[in-house]
Amino acid sequence: MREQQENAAVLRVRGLNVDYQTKKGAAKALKDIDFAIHAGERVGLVGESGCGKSTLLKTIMGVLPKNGDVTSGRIELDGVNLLEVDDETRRKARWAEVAMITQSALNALNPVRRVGDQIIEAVRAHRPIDKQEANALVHRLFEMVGVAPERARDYPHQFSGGMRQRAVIAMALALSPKMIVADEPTTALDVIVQDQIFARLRELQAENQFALILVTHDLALVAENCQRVMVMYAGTLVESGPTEEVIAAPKHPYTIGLINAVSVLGSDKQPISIPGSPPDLMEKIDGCRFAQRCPLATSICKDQMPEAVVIASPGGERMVRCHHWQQAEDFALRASNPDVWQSVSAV
Amino acid sequence: MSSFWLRRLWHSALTLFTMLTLMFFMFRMLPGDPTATVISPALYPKAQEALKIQFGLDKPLWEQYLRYLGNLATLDFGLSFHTGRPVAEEIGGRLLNTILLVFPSMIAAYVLGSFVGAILGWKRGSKTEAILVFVSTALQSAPVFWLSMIAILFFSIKLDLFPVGHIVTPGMFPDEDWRMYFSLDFLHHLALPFLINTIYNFCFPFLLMRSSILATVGEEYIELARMKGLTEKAVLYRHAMRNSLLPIATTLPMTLGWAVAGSVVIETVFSWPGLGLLMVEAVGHSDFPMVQAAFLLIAALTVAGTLMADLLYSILDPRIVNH
Repeated sequence: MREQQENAAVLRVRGLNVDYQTKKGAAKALKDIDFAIHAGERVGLVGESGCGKSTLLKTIMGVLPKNGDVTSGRIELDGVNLLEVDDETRRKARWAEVAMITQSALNALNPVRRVGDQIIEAVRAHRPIDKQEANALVHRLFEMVGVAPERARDYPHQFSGGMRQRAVIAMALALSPKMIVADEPTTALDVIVQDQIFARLRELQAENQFALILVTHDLALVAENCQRVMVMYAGTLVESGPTEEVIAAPKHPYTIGLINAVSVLGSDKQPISIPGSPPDLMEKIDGCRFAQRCPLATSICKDQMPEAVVIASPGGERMVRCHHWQQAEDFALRASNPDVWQSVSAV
Repeated sequence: MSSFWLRRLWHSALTLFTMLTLMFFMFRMLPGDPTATVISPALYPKAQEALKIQFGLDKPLWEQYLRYLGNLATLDFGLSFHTGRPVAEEIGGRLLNTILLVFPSMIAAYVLGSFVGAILGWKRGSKTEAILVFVSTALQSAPVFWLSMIAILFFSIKLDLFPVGHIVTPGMFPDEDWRMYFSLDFLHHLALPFLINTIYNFCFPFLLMRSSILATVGEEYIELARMKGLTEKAVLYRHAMRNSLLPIATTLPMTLGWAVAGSVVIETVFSWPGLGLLMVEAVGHSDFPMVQAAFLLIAALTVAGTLMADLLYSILDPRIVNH
């Protein structure tokens, strides 16, 4: 079973470390990232702003800014390490293999070029396509995402926010990639449009069987849409596993805090936020990156980075990076008391 | 053809009309009697009177103004005080000389400036960039007449590569007809002022494009274009440069109008018989009809340039027309 899964991995990231070089020194944006995405799977990647989600996506897409350095690790797409191939092979792999649905569809579309042309441009970068075929393709893609095909000749500013997001999804589908990465695709939209777009995205995913990574800070969205979830904190993956299991029985104190921080409509449960803020990535951190804010932290947490522990579970495998994960169940019961969290930041 | 264009045309017409009117009254408010150069005070009062009637100067100001407008409508700019020939005829040939000097060099400067600015801005931080930014800023602050004089001193006098001035070798084309424009001699004379004008005008589009590209580099659509698998060249030309062209496209046509006015300096230094030199001569001769017509022409060119800039902008940026 495990062997099979290993083979079916579309994307496998191993021991990935990324630094940003700044004038004050290197900021460790990603630390020892390990994960695999399997064909046709929907995976959520959650974490607060600045935890490295976008850096991870940029590294996968190969568009890190100039001061971003991959210091070690591998990004394997169908077994080929993308970090080792030449620029031309890398360029060709973009979009054809892994496409992206960007965060802000307004800024991602070039304002002075027609929406349809911008979609065709992605195709043309990979294979020749004549005008007739191009028009037919755009027509089909627009129908797939639910935008009137004749709007393909419009400019982005003539589209509503929801339509722009749909156009960006159409663009991602243009080359039938094996994997689509969606970076907070609906943050800028209202809840109703968000639901419609996700419903469509799930249908498209079922039809086309691409793997989907959904990057968001919204746990509820992951719960609704993803089979698996990965939780990221300060540049490390702290926990991952089947979404239902992780949400029902989180094993990392940060995940517990994150679930506590979600407000539930119609419930009198008060959301509790985690006091404090993520560590300064410029500083050298030997131990667990969450230790400063963690009620379970002991001296070992401050000195030693916890190894990833893999736990067999009914829905597949779970991973947790915590010295005290075995106390998680007990801690989860106490965690709904805000004082438990406050006591840490007071120290 | 939308209300946008009708409105823009109407604005242009209004601007031009205001210019015409201001011009008419400004010349009449100037100190000194402009007619003194034609109607000599030494003449008998009766002869002076007759001449005034002949020129229509006995009529009230408003009637003169209406006549002035009527004449302009038929492109009649009157007779030159100095040569006695129709102003329109005098100016026509001179304008052509200016255009032949100014327009090609402006276009060369803008095309070159845009590309060099785009490429250097794209690869930020190169040594060439640092040097060229420094040189451009220095050149831009140097007066063009100084630049021209240095060039003449070095290339014409010291190296004897180019003639010192004029449009053709004097006496080579006694009639100064169309044949001279197709001669090597003409190109030889054109080379140095063309070069100076190109270098001088290169700086502005170069610096503008460079900063425009720098502002575009971080845009999300640039990152998306890269993620789509476009080559670096395609990202630069089709997205970054395409969008950074907007400020350049608006300034180029407007600058064409100013460049004709600005040709006064370069034409004077190179004795280039264009509109600029004509204006200088006309002012010296107190040739009011000539000066007035030259000013009008420059005003009209500037207004036309602005209109063209709007047209170009609306083609390059579809967001404009829809508002």
